[in-house]
Amino acid sequence: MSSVTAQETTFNLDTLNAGKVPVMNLRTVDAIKSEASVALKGVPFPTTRDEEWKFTNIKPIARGAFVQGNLQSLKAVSYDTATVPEAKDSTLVFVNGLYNSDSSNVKDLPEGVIVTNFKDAVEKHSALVEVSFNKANNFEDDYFTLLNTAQFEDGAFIYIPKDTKFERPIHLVYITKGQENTASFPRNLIVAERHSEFTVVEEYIGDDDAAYLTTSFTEILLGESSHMSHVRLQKDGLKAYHINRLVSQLQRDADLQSYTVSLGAEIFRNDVRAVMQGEGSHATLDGLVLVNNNQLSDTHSIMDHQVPNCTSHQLHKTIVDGKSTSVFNGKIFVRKDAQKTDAFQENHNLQLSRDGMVYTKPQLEIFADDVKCSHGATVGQLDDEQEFYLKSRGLDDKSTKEILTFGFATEVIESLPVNSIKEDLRKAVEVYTTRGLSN
Amino acid sequence: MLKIVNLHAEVDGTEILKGINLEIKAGEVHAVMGPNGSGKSTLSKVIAGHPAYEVTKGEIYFEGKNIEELAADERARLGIFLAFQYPVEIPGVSNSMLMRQAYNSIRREHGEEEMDPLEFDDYVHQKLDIVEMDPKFLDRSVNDGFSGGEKKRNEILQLAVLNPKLALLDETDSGLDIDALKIVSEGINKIKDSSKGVLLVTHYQRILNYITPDYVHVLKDGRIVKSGGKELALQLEADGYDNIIESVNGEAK
Ligand SMILES: Nc1ncnc2c1ncn2[C@@H]1O[C@H](COP(=O)(O)OP(=O)(O)O)[C@@H](O)[C@H]1O
Ligand SMILES: [Mg+2]
Repeated sequence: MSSVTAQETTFNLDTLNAGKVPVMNLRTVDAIKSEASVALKGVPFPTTRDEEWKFTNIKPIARGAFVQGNLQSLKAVSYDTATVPEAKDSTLVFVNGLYNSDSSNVKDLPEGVIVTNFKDAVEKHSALVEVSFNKANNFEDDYFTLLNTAQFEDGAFIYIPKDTKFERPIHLVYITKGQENTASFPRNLIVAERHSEFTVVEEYIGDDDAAYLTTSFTEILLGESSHMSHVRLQKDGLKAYHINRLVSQLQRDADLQSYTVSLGAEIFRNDVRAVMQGEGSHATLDGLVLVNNNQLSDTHSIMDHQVPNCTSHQLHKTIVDGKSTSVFNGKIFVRKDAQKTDAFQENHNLQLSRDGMVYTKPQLEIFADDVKCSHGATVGQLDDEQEFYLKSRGLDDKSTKEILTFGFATEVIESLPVNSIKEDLRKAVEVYTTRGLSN
Repeated sequence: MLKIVNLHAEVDGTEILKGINLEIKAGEVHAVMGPNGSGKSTLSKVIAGHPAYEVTKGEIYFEGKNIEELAADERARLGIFLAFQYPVEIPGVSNSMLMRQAYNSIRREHGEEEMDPLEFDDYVHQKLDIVEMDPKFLDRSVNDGFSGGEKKRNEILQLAVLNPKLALLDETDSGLDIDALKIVSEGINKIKDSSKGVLLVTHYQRILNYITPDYVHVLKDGRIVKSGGKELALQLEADGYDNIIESVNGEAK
C-alpha cells in the first residue's frame, strides 16, 4: 500500500473511499450524507487551539492516510457469538465498518423487534429509517460527526416496538483487523417505542499492532417510558484512534442507563450526550477509563435538562498509569423551564504514576432556580490508610495496589447489566493492574 | 514472643512513645490501658509496622528477631495481626476476597499450598460462627457501610481466619453494646491458646470481665507508668486514671 502524507493538521479525506461518499440508496439518508460531505470541507480539523480539544492532540490522526476497510479483510474474520453467552442469538458483527453476516447471529426475535444492519434496514424498513435517522443528532459543526455521517457504509439498526420487553442483550461487535490505516465509520441507530425495555452492548475490538481509526456514531431515540440499558466497551488495539459520538433523546419518563468502559486505543475521544426532552426522564452516563503508557482518553459529556422533573446521574472514574492522560469535561445544562431538575455528577481519578496527567472540568450552566445539582471531582493516589490496612493482613505491596485499584474500578463495573461482561471486565481490570505494576 | 525495649517513636516530628518496655510471652494476655491520647493506638501501629510512625530509639523483637526493617505486610506474614480501633472501609473489595488473598499469602510464606476458593469458603464459614456473623458479610465490600459493631466483629473474624501468633487488639471493645461485647470477647477467648500472645488495648475495664489478662499496664503520655496483675484494672476502674497516675508520680518523688 502506498503511503500518502497529508499536510500536517489536515485530515486526508481523499484517500478515504477515493474521496467518494458511500451511497445508501435511500433519498433522505443520501441527502444528509452529501450535505455532511459538503459541510465537512468547511470545518477545520480540530487542534489543541480549540477549547473543546485543548488537552487532546489529534495530530497523529491528521497525519494518517486512512482507507476504508474492504470486503476481503472482512471475510478473513470470524467471531464466536457465544463469547457473550447471554447474547449468543442476538449478535451483529461488523468488521472494518462493514457487516459480517457469516459471524452474526440473530434468532427468535419477539414480534416486531428489528435487529439488523443499517444497509438491510434501509431496504426493508425504509420508512422507519427515514423518520428517525439523524433526528437526535445535535452535534453542530463537529468534524468527526460530519465525517461519520458522510462516510459511513453500515452500522446497526435496532427497533423495539411499543410494550415490548426484549430480555436478551443485543450485542454489537465491531472488529478492526488487518492493515495499518484502516478506517471504519460505524453508524448505529436505535429506536425504542413507548414502554419498551431492552439492553444493547456495543463492543469495539482490534489488533494491537495497527494504527487504525474508528469514527463511530450512535444515535438513540427513546420513546415514552422506555427503558434502555446500554454498555459501550472500547477494547481497541493500543495503537488505535477512536473518536465516538453518542447522542440520546429521551421522551417523557424514558430511562437510559449507559455505561462506557474504555480500556484500549492510543487516542480515544468520546462525546456522550443525553437530551431530556420529556418530563420525568432519567439518564445515567457512567464511565470507567483505564489508561496506561502513552494512552489518552478524553470524555466530553452533556446532560441536557430541557424540561422539568428530570434526573441525571454521571459517575466517571478513571485510572491513570504510566505517561497516560485522562480528560473529563462534564457539562450539565439546566434550561430555563427545567425546574426540579436533579443532576448528579462525580469524577474520580486515581493516579498510579507520577507521569500521568489528569484534566477534569465540570461545567454547570443552570438557568432554572429550583434545581438540585451536585458535582465533585477528585484526583489522587491510593489511600494510605487503606494500603496499611491491607498490608497489615499480609498482602504485599503489589497485591495491595492491585486490589485497591480493582476496588476503585469495580464501582462502575458492578452496575453493568450483563453478567458475563462484568466477569470479563473484572479480569481485564486485573490484567490492567498487573500490567501497570510490573512495568 | 514479643519484646519491646526502650521504644521511642514519633509521627511528623512529634515524639509520642517515650521509652516503652514490654515483654509478652506465648499464652499471655497483656492489657494496655490508658487515657485518650496516651499513645495506645500508636503503640499497636508501631508494632504492626505503620509507615507513618518512625522508631527513633529502641527495638522491637518478634520471636527473637529484630523486626525494625520489616514492612507491615512482612510482619503480618510472620504472624502479627492488628485489629484496628477504626477499621478501614474499602469499597469494591469484597470481604471474602481480602481474607482469601491474605490467608493465602500467609500460607505461601510458610511454604504451604494455597487454598482454592471453594475450600476457603468452607473454612471461612466455620469461622463465621465464632463471631456469630451472617455469611452475607462475606460478599460485601470490606467494612463498607458496616455499623461500628459489625466492623469490630469483622476484625475478629479476620483474626480467626488468619490465625496469627500475636494479636494486637486496639479498643476492640469500644462502640460495642453488651451483647456484641460478649460475642466478641468469647470469640477472642476461643481463638487464643497457649501458643499465642495477646495485646489488648482498652480504655475501659469492662472487656476484662470477659477476657482475663495476665498483666495490666497503664500507659500515660507515651510511657508505661504502672504495671501489675489483673487487679490493677479493677483499681483503675474504681479510682480513675488520674489517681493512679498521681500515686505513681507520688512514689517517684
Ligand atoms: N498521625 C498522627 N499525626 C499527628 N499526631 C498523631 C498521629 N497519630 C497520633 N497522634 C497523636 O499522638 C497521641 C497519641 O495518640 P494515640 O496513639 O491515638 O492515642 P490513644 O490510642 O491512646 O488514644 C495523640 O496526642 C495524637 O494526637
Ligand atoms: Mg486509640
